[in-house]
Amino acid sequence: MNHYHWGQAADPSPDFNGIDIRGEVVLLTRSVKIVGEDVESWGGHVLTGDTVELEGTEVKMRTGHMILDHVEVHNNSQIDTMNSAIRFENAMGGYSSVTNCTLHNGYGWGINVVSSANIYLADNIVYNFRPIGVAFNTAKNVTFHDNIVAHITERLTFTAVDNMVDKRGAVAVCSYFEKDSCTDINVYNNIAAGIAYAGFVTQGHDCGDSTSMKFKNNTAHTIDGDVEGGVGGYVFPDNAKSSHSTCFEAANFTTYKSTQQGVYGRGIS
Amino acid sequence: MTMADNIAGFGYAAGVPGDVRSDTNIIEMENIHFYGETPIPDCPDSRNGDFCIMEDKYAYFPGMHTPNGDAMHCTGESKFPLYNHHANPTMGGKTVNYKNKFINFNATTPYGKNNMVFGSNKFGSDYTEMQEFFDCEFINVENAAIATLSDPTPGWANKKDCGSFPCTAPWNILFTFQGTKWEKIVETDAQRDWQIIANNPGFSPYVNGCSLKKNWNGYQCFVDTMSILMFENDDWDAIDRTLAPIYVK
Repeated sequence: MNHYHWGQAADPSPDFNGIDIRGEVVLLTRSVKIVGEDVESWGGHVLTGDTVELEGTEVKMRTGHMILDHVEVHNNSQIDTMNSAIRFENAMGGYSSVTNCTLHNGYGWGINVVSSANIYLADNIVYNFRPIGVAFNTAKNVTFHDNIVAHITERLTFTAVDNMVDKRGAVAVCSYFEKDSCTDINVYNNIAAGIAYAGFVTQGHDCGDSTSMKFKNNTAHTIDGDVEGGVGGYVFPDNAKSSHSTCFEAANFTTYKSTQQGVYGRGIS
Repeated sequence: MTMADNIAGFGYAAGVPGDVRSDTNIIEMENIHFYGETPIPDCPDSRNGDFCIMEDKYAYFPGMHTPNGDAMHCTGESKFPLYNHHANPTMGGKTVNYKNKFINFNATTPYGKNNMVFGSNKFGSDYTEMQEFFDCEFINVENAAIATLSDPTPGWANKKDCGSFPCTAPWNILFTFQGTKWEKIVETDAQRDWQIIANNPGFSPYVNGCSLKKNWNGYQCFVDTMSILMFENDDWDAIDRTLAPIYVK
């Protein structure tokens, strides 16, 4: 291993409210591979979307639909763009799933769901991307559970006016663009580890709703950032819920080894 | 929720609608387990490029209700850290804790840094709302690890207007506890109902029922009538004026 990872034989979870704080060990290889080229940090990317085509005078609607299971996606994503290793854009008509896959080592984002719906992402490893691991923007009916998102780092190519900071984070739920609105996004049982800025930037759920899976049983650890550290979770109100202007809630979240807050909450702005 | 070994504990900026100066706005925190240090070292070996972060740690920072909060993916360097709010706090904010647990806190880390349950928000110059704790537990918490409170930062003073008199929020904090339980480390002054106030030289030494805790830079009190008195200047130039008359009847 290149860097320090903490571990011990005995399970420490009884000492930490059921949380196993040992370093995660995962297998990144799969037999079926989608491998991009690494030419000037510009890898491939797998895009799913709905399109409209003209066949003669007839307009035909093509529905994007992708099922990936146990696939290794390597050297994908394109530097300094939102062209992530796996991207859904305007994929509203069908449904897609990505399960048991590994996405690793790209110079851009890991997964980007934009203006898309009906997507199931489970038991995946998203490793070594920058500066965003997984993002849901203007998305609908997306389930993201039991994934590990790790080593999401600062962009080394980010240049901007003085005193401007890059947008970063492991899992960004309807947060990348202010005032964005998403519906039916469920994010649960995930781990974000070794992250710049924030493990999860996500919406809270309705007050008193203990059954909500919107953001539940997630863990963030080892969070830092170039500017004043990082937070495990950043929770904010759901723009699509008028009731959140007066009350919203976050629960069942674990965070350790953050160099700023474990959890930071923000109300309406 | 479970939080362990974070540098700046729990924080929030609650954007407040309406009359930001006086509306009541509440943060509630319930059933959160705050742990002190984990076995994961802060500085395992910095010689090979690994992380090495040796900072004072606090499990719980009092937050503030303010008219705004930072963007979700904050892009302004001056906005960091996130709990630096750049705005006047609302005077109607309130923080209530229920059944939270503070577990395994030694006063210092192996690297000699603070490892505390409570700290002061170093950006809270104007007002820190009362922090209320009901039925919370302190389990294996050293007395010296309960708090390290800050004095007002001298740099806050506007010498042109007020001489060397900085904003005094850190001297007016109040943490109040009811129904506290103590386990493993139980000092003689570990009571069910108690309070923490700052080491405010013009006030704290004169309150019957309070005693100085040097390690905390604060006072531990057993005065269940303790509260924060606030009054607001309604004049049109309230924000700008240097002096305001006060009449207490």
